[in-house]
Amino acid sequence: MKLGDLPLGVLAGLFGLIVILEAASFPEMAGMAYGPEFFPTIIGVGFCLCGLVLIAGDLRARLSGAVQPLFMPEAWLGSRKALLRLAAVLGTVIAFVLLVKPLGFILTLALLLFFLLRSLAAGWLISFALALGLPFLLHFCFTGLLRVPLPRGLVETLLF
Amino acid sequence: MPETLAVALTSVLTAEVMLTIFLAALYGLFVGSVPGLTATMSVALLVPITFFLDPVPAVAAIVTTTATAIFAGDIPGALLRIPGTPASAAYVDEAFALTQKGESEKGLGASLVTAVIGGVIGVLLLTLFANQLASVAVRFSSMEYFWLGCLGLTSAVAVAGGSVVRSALSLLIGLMISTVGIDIATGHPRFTFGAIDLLDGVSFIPAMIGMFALSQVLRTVTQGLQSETTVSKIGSLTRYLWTTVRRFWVNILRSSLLGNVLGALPGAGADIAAWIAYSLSKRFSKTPQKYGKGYEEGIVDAGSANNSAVAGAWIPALVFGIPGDSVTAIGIGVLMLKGITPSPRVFQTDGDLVYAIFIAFIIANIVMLPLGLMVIRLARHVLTIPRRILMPLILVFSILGAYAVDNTTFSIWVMLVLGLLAYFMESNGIPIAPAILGIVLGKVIEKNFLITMIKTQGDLLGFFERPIAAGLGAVTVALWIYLLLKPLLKRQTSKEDAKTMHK
Repeated sequence: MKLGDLPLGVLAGLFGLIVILEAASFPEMAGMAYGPEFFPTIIGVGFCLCGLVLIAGDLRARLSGAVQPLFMPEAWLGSRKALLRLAAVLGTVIAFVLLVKPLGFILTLALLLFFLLRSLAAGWLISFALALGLPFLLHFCFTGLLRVPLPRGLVETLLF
Repeated sequence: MPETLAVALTSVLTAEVMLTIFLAALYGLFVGSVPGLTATMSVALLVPITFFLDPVPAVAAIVTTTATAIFAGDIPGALLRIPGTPASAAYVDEAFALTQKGESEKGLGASLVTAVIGGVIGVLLLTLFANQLASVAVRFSSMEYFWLGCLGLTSAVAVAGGSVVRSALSLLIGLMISTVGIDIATGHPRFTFGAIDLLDGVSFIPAMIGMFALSQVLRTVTQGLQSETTVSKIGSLTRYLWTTVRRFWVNILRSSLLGNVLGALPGAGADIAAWIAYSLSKRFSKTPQKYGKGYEEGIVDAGSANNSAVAGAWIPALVFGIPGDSVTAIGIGVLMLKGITPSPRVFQTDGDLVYAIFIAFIIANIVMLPLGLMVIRLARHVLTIPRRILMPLILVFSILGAYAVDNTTFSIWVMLVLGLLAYFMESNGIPIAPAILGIVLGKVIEKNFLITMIKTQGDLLGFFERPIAAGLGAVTVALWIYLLLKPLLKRQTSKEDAKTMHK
C-alpha cells in the first residue's frame, strides 16, 4: 500500500508525538541532565520534523495545482488470487507459532508446507514430496548436526 | 606478525573450514543468481547455522556467501536483464545488450574475472586499511565513538540516494527499534509493551530475516509468481577471462580501490559502489559512445568495484564495530557471539582470528573462479526453478532461522512484524539500509553519549574538547548542514535555470 506524502507525513508526525509522550513518562535520573527519555525524545522530534516536511511538500504541490492522491492501491489488491496467496503466507507464519508446541515440529511443518505449496499452486506431487521429506531433513540438521532443540510432538515421540 | 599469519594459515587450512567455504560458495552462487534473493538475505538465513560453528568457519561462511552472491547477481542480469542482487543493477543493461548480440560469454567472462580480482584486491586493501586505521583509532574514546556513530548515520542518509526525508525516516525507524528494551543507565524498560522478551531489545537476526527474506516473499507472492524462463545456451567463456584482464587491468585496479573505499563508508555497499564505478568509467572512458550498447568496459569497472566493496565494508566493522553495509551489520553480531569484539585493538587481541578471516576471504574469492564457471553453465537450470516452490522454502527457512537463534517463538513474531514493516517501507519508497544502520548504531551512539556526559558532568562542549573528536564532530555537523541545504540549493539553481531558459 503506497501512501501519498500527506498521509505519510501525518502518520510520521503522530508516531513522533506518541514517542515523545511515552518518553516523558520515563523516570528521571537523579543528578543527570540526560536520562532514558533523552534519545527517544530526539527520535520523536525527528519523526515530527520529517512528517512536517512531507506535509508541507504535499500541500505546496496541491497549491500549485498538482493532483496528489491520498493513497495509491497497488494493482494486486484487486486480484483475489494475490490476496489469497498473501493470506496463505501470513497464515503459515502465525499458524506455525500457534501449532508448533502442541503438534511438534515435524507434523506442523509438514502440514503447513503442504498447505503453502498448494496455495501457491505448486504441483501435487512436488508439494507432497517436499512436505514429506523436508521436515525430516531439517529436523535431522537442526537437532542432530546443530544441536538446536526443536519442539517435540507426536511424530518425534513415535520415531525418535 | 609472521607468527600470527602462520597460526592463521593453519586454522584456515583445515578440512572443516575448506568444506564450509566450498558449501557457502555454492549457496552464495545459487542465492545470488536467483532474482529477488539478495546477498543480505542469504547471510541472514545463514546466521542461525553459523551459531553452531567455530569462529573461523562461521565468519568464513558469511564472507564467502556475500562475495559469491554479489558476483552471481550478474548471471540473471546478463541472461534475463533482471539483476540477481541490487549490486548488479548498475550494468544489467550493458550485460544484456551483449547477450542480445549473442555474446553473453563476453559479458559473463568479464563479470567473473573482475569479481575474482576485485575481491582479492579488496581483501588486501582491507588488511592494509584496517591495520592503518586501527593504529590511529587506539586513542579513540567515547567522544570519538559518539561522532563516528553520528557520521555513520549521516553518511547512510547522504548516500542512500533519492529523497533525504525518506532516508531520514528510515534511519529514525531503525533508531526507534534500537531504543526498545532496558535503558542502559537506569534499567527502565522502554517501549517493551510489557513483553519480557523485549527487555533485551529487538532480537537482531530475526529482525534482519524479516526485513530481507519475509518482505521479499510477501512482495513475490503479491506481484505474481510467473517468471520468464527462456535462457539461451551459453558457450565456453574461459578465453574471455584472460583477454579481459589484459585489456582492462588499469580499470580493474582503479575500480577495486574506489569500490573498497566506498564500501567502507557506512550505508554505501556494493550496489552504490557499482553505480558510482559505472558512471565514472563512462566519464573517463576513451569510447563513452559504446556504453549501453553492449561494451565490457563498464561491466569491468562496476564488477570489480562491487566485489571489492564487499571487503571494504569490513574495515569499519572490524576496527570500530560500525558496519559498512547491511551484511557486515549481521557480521558484527556473529563476531561478538564468537567472542571477537571489534575494536582498534582487534589485531592484537584476536590477530590470529582476524588474519584467518582475511585468508578465508581470499580463498573464497579464488574458488569463485572455477565454481562460478560451473554455475554459469548450470544457470539455465537454476533460473528455471519456479518461484511457487522457492518461496515456500524460503519462508520455512526464515521461520526456522528466526526460531533457532533464540529458541523462542517470540522471535517469529519479531520476524513477522519487521517483515511487514519493511514491506510497507519499500512500497512507500523508504529505503531499508539506513534503518539497519540505525538499529546497530543507535545503541553505540546512546551509550557513548551517556558515558561522555558522565565524564564531562553534563557539559556538551566536551564533545569538541579532544582534537580528533572535534575534527569528526566538525565533519558531521558540516554534513548535516549540507544535507539540510541541498534541497534548497537545488530549488535555487532550478529556478535560475528556468529564468535563463525564458531569456
